[in-house]
Amino acid sequence: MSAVSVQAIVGAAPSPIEAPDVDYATISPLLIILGAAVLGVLVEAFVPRAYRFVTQIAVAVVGVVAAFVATVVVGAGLDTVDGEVTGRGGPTAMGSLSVDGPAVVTWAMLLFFGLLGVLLFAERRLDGGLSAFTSQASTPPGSADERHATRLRIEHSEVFPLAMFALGGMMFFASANDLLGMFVALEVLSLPLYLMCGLARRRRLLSQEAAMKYFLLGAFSSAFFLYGIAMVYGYAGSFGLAEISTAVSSQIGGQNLLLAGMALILVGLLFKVAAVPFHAWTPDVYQGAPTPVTAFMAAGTKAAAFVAMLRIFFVAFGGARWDWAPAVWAIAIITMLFGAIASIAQTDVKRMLAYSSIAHAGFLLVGMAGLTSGDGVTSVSAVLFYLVAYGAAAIGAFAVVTLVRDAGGETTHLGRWAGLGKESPVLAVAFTIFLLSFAGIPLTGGFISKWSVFAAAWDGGAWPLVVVGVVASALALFFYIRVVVLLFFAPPQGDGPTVAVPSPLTWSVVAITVAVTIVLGVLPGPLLDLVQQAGAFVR
Amino acid sequence: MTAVTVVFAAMGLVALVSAFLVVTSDQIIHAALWLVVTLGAVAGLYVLLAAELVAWVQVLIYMGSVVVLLLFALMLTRTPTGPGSATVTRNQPLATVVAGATTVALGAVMWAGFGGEVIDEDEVRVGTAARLGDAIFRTWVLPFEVLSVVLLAALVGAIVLTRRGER
Amino acid sequence: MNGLVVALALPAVAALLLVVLRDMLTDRLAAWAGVGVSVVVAMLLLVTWVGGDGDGYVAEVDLVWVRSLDLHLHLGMDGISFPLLLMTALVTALVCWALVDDPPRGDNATPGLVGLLMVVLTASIGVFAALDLVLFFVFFELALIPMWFVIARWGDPHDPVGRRTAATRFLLYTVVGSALMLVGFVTVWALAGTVQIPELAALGAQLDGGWALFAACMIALGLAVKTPVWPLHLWLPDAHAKAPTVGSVLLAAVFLKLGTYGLLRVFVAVLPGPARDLAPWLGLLGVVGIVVASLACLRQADLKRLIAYSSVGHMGFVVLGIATLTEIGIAAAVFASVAHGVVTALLFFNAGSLKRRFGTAEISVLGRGMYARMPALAVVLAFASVASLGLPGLAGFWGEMMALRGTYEAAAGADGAGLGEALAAVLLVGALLGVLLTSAYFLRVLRRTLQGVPTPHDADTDLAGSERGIAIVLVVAVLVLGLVPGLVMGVVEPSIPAILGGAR
Repeated sequence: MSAVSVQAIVGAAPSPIEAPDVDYATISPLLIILGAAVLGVLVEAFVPRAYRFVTQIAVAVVGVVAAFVATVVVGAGLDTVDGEVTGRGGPTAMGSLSVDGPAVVTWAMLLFFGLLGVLLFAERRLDGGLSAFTSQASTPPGSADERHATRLRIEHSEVFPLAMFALGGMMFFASANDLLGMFVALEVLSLPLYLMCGLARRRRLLSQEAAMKYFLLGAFSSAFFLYGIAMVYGYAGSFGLAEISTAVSSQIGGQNLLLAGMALILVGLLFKVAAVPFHAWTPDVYQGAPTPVTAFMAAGTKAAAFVAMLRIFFVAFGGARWDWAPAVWAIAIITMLFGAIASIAQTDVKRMLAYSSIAHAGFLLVGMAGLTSGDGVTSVSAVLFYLVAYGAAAIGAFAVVTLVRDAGGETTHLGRWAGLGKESPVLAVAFTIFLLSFAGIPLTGGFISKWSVFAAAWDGGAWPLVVVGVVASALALFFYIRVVVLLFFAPPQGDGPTVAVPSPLTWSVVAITVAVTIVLGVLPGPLLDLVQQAGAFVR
Repeated sequence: MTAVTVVFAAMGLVALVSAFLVVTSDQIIHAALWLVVTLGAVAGLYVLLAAELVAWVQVLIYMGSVVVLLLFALMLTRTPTGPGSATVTRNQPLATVVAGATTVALGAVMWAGFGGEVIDEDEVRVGTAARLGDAIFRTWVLPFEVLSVVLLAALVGAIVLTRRGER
Repeated sequence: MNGLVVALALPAVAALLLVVLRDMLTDRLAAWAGVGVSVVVAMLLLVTWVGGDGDGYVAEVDLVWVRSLDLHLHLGMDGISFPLLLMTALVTALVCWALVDDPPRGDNATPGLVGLLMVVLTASIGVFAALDLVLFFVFFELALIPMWFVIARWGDPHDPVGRRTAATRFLLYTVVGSALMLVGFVTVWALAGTVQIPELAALGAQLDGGWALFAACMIALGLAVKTPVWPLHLWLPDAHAKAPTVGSVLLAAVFLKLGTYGLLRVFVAVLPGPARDLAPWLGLLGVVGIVVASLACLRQADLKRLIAYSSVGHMGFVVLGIATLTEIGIAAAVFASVAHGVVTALLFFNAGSLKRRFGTAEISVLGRGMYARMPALAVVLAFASVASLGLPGLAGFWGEMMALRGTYEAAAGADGAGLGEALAAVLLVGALLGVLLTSAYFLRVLRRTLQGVPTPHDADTDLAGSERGIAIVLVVAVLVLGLVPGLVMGVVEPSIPAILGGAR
């Protein structure tokens, strides 16, 4: 049947349903990424094994870059909306997505993280020409089958489409305009990550354990989130954030239902951002997962989940601010303190970075307690800036972790990192810059981001959070310093750490993230202006 | 009390009793077959609530494919199917508690959210194919399409985790 | 082109070049490069100051740094900061000169070390010139990290664990302090809506009440760690004792001044009201510091630790001067800061020379009769010691004298003094006791090392090369400051009203 006749038949029948109004140009970044993922699946099916890995890299990189370009175009074309607050853009695709300023900035940020992640995934020079992912996940660790698969140089190039799926989910999560879409997005971003966590080439049992733990706790948190959605639906009679907001501000009754729903949704999201007391999975998963995945996950999930959290709580539950703010305050305080204190006792680099990620979730929550609108630094812009600065430094730090190796793969025990400063001064300096940025030392991105979240929080009246935050920063510094001392001044154990020579892929990731960290510390103006111009969420 | 209410109550009773039998039957095949009855009764409830399409989906997917899948699984895995095959485990009290709690919680949400609402089955057509199609393919088209991404990702994941041999 | 900005940027560029080109440089070349850059910076500062119209801030620049956070790149110098700026550049030049003949351990390590020193120079200039609270904080922190590296990497070669501990303790104390200071700055910003120091100073007494007091407490705590004010001085003796000579000199001459300068610029000038409330406490702690430090000095066995503790005492005088909130007290604080920088630098250079020869600065190991064994070194040490204990006619005298004079004025009921009459009288007595004790411990050191029957040692070699040159420069500086104090006072005095403006 030719195309013409199909047209004729379809055209002849009276359309039983009005076509949905979807502005494809506006949501093109999302579609490009999901398209790249689907293309990746096809590559997996049809491209010969010898070319598969390289083809997958090309598809992913081209997809991410194209989506980035599309995001820039979309962002430049957003209309300004003047309401109670200044914003840009607005709902599209039948109200499922809100492509507003913060959403577009988050997209760009996630795509940047995604590109760095793909570059790390693609690194094959570190482990004898093989990627960081196991040869065949189905073979039992340590078995003859596994060795056979390794000898045949079989590789899981499926990680690229999976990463693209996760990236698409993150982008959707950050811009979804109703709770149902958010739930779907949460699953899209989580499922591939659960899976990728279990695919490490080295220390596979640890990796599988991490994947299992992440999956179980992640499913648990999804259930909380879903249950909360059900309750809020019961309260407001709608999934749409705008409708919920109207219901909340007109106080239609049944406040208990609303409170329970908000609490459950908050719990579900706090799991994802790794805030205390829902952080228990973080150290194990960060440690067990293949390091490139950890890097991608640490930066991407946190960014997507935080933007989604701000969107839900500022847009839908903005009218009930005084019901949720105390909980956020309390959790911010314990998260900052716990993250800072627990990290002091760590002996493993990846676990240490995990605890630092927990502490940073606390600082981001401080930002959430700030002003929702105004001329100064708003919560949204402060958090967006923080996420860029933190994400870049986190990816860089994990990229450095992939390079410090011994015969058994990466050496993540801190003791073995002693004397890295002599072995590879460049790498040690890069790692130091990331740590200083985590600690919030001036002239790194971390300082400006802490300053802006604290400023936002102070303007919002959350001064106790600022005080605790500064104390926690000082505490956290204690152990970042300990690591730097170890890198430069401690006598090496045995032969000291060895630094693998990576391909330009990993080098460029380290170089880019160092540059971003420093530029954000010295000349933060452009990005701050950008996140401020992005304005508020538009519902 | 209209005839519809009476039938609704009767269907509900059937669903409850058969559901009880699903969990108490001592033969696993019987439990599966009682499940068919439960799901069928629920489908009947959907019809009474003016949700024809959902009712048919219930019949086709749950009564049809899901139960058949269940029975296939029982046959293929050579699980014992005779008397006593669905033995009581020590976890049963715990399961009772969890199920009870879920019932209470969900019921409370329903009650609090929709307690006072009355469905006029002559006027409102909540679950017609047209309404549902409108909801899925217009209002929720994007989440619906993205949902397929979850399935695709899960599929890819399943292949990654299970596939062996050279490719 | 603004001389101040060039002076700020030049060392940073030099640091970058030194690190990038480190393989192409020899030790001596790198050290001379450091000397050259520092001297050029000093000349630039001098020329800029002389060329200034003397009204308000000289070479003031105000560029927007981060528009959305309202942070400015706001720099300028006045009579309070200029002497400290000049002293910083000159001491850095001398420190680099010392490296010419005494290269640090490690293969071709001088370029790296000089690079770090240049970063310290940039950061210190930044702190002294900053007219924006956040910029002040940024440079304050920036100065720490290179200094931490200097101590931990090139500190006492005989005690690797000890030097790391000392370096880390130094860093943590100061960082925790500056974190509190940052809380204070954020509070000020929230209260006043600006972080520009001139604007804040113009607001003057408007910043008052509970929150302003809270901000002042936080800022004072942060600066008190750096100064250091007793009892927050615990990081200092170890850091000085374990640091290499260059580190000790810079710590004493420049780093402590960051704290005292901060007390003047962002404590007294910005928050005059709360500063007045806190002044008695500050004065009290200052005098306790003077007495406790001199008592501690009496039983120090290590020359470097002794000099370190004596710094705590000298800083006590500076803090006392500030706490009086009188014009002469403020003048005393600036003068004593500069004088202490010069005198203590000389002492630490000497102690460093001894440590280089004997491997330790333990007084018992150094032996007796140094006048006979190493005449030049001994004479310089004696000269520096008597300058430090405040012999009239030398640099140390005027600072102490004016601080005591300020306290006396307060005791006599001068208008607007920060201290009550009774308290000032008590503090005056305490400080005088401290002066006596200071003389006692320096004389004890001189008697035990310089005098007595000579105990010859293989390592006895007199001052030579750059050591001799540095000693001459510093001795001249001490004499000039002591004999013509008007040189500094003339610069400082016109700017004092700006500092005390709000407090009056």
